[in-house]
Amino acid sequence: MLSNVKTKPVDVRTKTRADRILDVRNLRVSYQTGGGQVRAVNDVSFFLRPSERLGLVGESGSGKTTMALSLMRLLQSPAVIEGGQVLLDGVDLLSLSEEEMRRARLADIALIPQGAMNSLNPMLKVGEQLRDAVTAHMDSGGKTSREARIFDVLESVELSRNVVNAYPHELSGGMKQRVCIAMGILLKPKVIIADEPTSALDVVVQRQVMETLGRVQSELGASIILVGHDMGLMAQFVDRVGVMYGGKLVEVSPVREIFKDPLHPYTQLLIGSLPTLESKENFKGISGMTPSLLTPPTGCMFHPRCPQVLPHCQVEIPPLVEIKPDRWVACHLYNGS
Amino acid sequence: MRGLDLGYFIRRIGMFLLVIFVAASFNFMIPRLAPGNPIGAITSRMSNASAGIENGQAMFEAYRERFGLDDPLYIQYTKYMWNTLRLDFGESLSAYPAEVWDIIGPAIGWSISLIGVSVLITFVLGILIGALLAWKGTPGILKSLLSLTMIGGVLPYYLLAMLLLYFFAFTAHVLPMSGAVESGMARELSWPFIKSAFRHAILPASSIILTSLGGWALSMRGLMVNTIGEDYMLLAEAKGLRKSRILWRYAIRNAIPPQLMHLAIALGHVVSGAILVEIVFSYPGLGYQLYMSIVNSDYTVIQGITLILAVSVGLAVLIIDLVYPRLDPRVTYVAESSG
Amino acid sequence: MNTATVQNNTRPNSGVNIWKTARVVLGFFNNNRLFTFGVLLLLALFLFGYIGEMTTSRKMADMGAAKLNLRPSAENLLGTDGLGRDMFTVMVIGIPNTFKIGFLAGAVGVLIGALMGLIAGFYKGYTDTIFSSFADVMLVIPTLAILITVSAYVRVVTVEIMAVIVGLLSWPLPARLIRSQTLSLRERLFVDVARLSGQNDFEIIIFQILPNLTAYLAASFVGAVSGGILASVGLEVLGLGPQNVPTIGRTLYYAFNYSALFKGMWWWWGPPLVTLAIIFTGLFMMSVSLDKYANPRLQGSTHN
Repeated sequence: MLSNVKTKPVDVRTKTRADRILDVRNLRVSYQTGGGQVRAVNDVSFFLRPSERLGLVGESGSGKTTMALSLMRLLQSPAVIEGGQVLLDGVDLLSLSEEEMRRARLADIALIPQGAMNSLNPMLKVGEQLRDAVTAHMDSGGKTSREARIFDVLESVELSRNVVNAYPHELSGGMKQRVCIAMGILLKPKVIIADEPTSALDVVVQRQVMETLGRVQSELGASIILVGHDMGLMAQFVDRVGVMYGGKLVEVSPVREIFKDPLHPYTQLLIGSLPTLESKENFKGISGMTPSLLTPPTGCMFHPRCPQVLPHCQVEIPPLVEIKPDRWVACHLYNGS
Repeated sequence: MRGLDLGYFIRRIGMFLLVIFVAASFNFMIPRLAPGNPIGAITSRMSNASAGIENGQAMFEAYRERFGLDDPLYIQYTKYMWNTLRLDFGESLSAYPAEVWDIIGPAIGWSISLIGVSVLITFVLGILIGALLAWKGTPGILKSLLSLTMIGGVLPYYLLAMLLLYFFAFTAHVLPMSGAVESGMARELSWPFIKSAFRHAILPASSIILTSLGGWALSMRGLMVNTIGEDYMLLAEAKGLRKSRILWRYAIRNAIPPQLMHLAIALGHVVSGAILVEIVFSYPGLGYQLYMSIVNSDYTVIQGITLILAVSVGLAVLIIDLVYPRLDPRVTYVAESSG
Repeated sequence: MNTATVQNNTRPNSGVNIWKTARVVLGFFNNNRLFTFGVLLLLALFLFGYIGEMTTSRKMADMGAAKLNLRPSAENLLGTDGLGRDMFTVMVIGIPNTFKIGFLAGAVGVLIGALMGLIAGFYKGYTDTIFSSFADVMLVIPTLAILITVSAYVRVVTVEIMAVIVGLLSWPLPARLIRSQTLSLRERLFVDVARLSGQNDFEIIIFQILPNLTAYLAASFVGAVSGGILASVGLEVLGLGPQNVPTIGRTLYYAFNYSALFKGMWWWWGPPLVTLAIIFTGLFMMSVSLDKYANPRLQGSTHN
């Protein structure tokens, strides 16, 4: 159930499988630019199981952050959600009114932002920012329970209660990120979107913060989408990985298998390009350029760079299909196998 | 940690005193540096004229004695600074034996009420207009309407003052042409007095507000655009805050502090800038008195007024400086001292 | 803008290609229509004054050169004022004078300000403290009050003296802007590269830092010109400006002293007013356009 959203009429509750807390169907997002329309998220479908950790990786410009933000309808003006469905527990977020969506944010689906260093308002004490968040979702009263909840979440991210009286600039980067995590779990959402939450932190702090995030998420039983480009981080943290390329999801597989046996040629190159202990010197990038989204290639987005390209690839866009249990790939190599 | 740093206070107050010192020195030097020795010219003119005027000789003597014109320059300077320090400007030359303070005192009152209020109105309106111009939720029609305020910035304020005077006072007779209240009205806090003062203030205040509003709105818009681009605005929306709350508490609130710094400087510059508006409307504030004293070659009053102007601006900046760290937590007294 | 100039600097001073420069300049005008429009407005006004001056005799601006209070006619295009001066002649002489004061004052102000700002920003420390404090003090002291006082004592001034006095009081704002930009520029990589390749402080300031400040200098200059004209016209309107030549402000001074407004002599007070409106509109457009240039984030917002 969506605690804060009025139950929509039945027709919005599209049939969904009980094992999917979040079900994204055919999501399309584009930017209107001077040079034309750029499709940043192109017909993306995936789902998230309850309590699952899904990683979303891709190069910059692959559309991963745009997609993450569009799930919460947080995109800024030139970006438009053109179509698709984002079913959160059966309710299509894209069909909610502005006010309903506002209430769903944080309460049902929360964001732990990229660049946490600047994600807190420098003019307001941490406590006020947390209080603001709770108050926006309360109809009246409950001051004591609000304060208690704030102290609760601070405790669970291992911060002292005193930080409520601190201004953001008085905290370290790791502490600020913990405040952001505390903010994210404040109202016990079902889904948390963490957009490169540790990219600004140094490695040691990064590891500690990720441990906290993981622990808090398990305690809460929320599902999490971790957006990033750090495959190493993904390997340690997530259950499944989705790989984005040129605004499309090209592969979704359990994390172990994607490292052991990547299916999509792009994923193979991505995994192959990772520096390992044995082959540090053999670091090779992926040849070619990221595709221009303004004039996208026909057929498969990856075919200009693909080492295993088939004639067919230039013509037809491969759909994302489940070729083995829980292994989804969008590539003509696996067609009919 | 934020704390009160004594060094910061001392530096700011030192800065304030420095402003006064420099202004006072200018005041002393300009008449003496000016070609043609104006002081000598005045004294000779006065000694010629003093024969014919009642009190003339006494006034001339007082003037010589006050400025110690027979003393060497450094003694004149010390004497002058000592007098300035005690805010003793002596007697007016044109209205002798009236004290300079008798002329400046009421003028300060009028200037503060006219210009202080106009600038504050402009400041508040400018912030609102600038904020709405930058806010993406503002309806397009409202935005275009608000953009019209920029037009006012094209005319210098004193020219708008003249046009307003011509159309509303001279041609249409809707509002009074000059003065701060009806002539002969007793200065008392009565309803007719306030009403009259208000009616007399409308045109001068409008000319200040209309011409400076655009500039304020424009700079506020710039600050708002920067603020709206900050990462914390995204999180504010992701928290599910209401749009109005984001606008006020996260965007406008954060964009205002730099504007306050401008306000302090602007208060000073408008006090002097409004001289021309006061002259156009014969509004008996500091600017008008300054002009009249120039016309009458009343140098003691000129010196008194210029110093008052410098002190008022210095004071405005000092107050903002001391209050600023409370408004913008990122700027702390301590951080200032270490940087 | 910045990246472009940085690239120029990494190359040793090769021969400047005039055509390339011309193309860059034209490109700038093309990309900043508002700026271009402002420039054209001022240029048109200047040409009006410059060419107009050739078609008429200076003597027509003397008092009593023509009949008093004439309405505009074929003979006196803008009529004559209450002192018998041909308004057209007064305007075409006055316009270049007003420009002269503004540009001279702006140049003096930006020159001093840039010098102070570069030195303060580049050397930091005590030098910066002294220069910045001085600029802050000057910023706070009400300029117009000083100007009025100065003019009160120096009764007779020429256009040039007036311009220099105004310029001497308008350097603090440019100084502040240039200082803050220099502070950040001096930390950039290409300054280190220049230092390692043996350039001294002077060369670094002139060849590395200064070219990157073009946009800021231009913005400062426009602001200083605007402020200079505003202040000098203000003084002239009070009758405190240059006495012996027609200026826009002095024309207004006469117009108001002789109650042209109340006599319905619109051709007396109208032309100077329109001229000033055009000047300030042009300068306003230029400064708005440059402000956007110096403040990259503003550019994105204009689409919204």
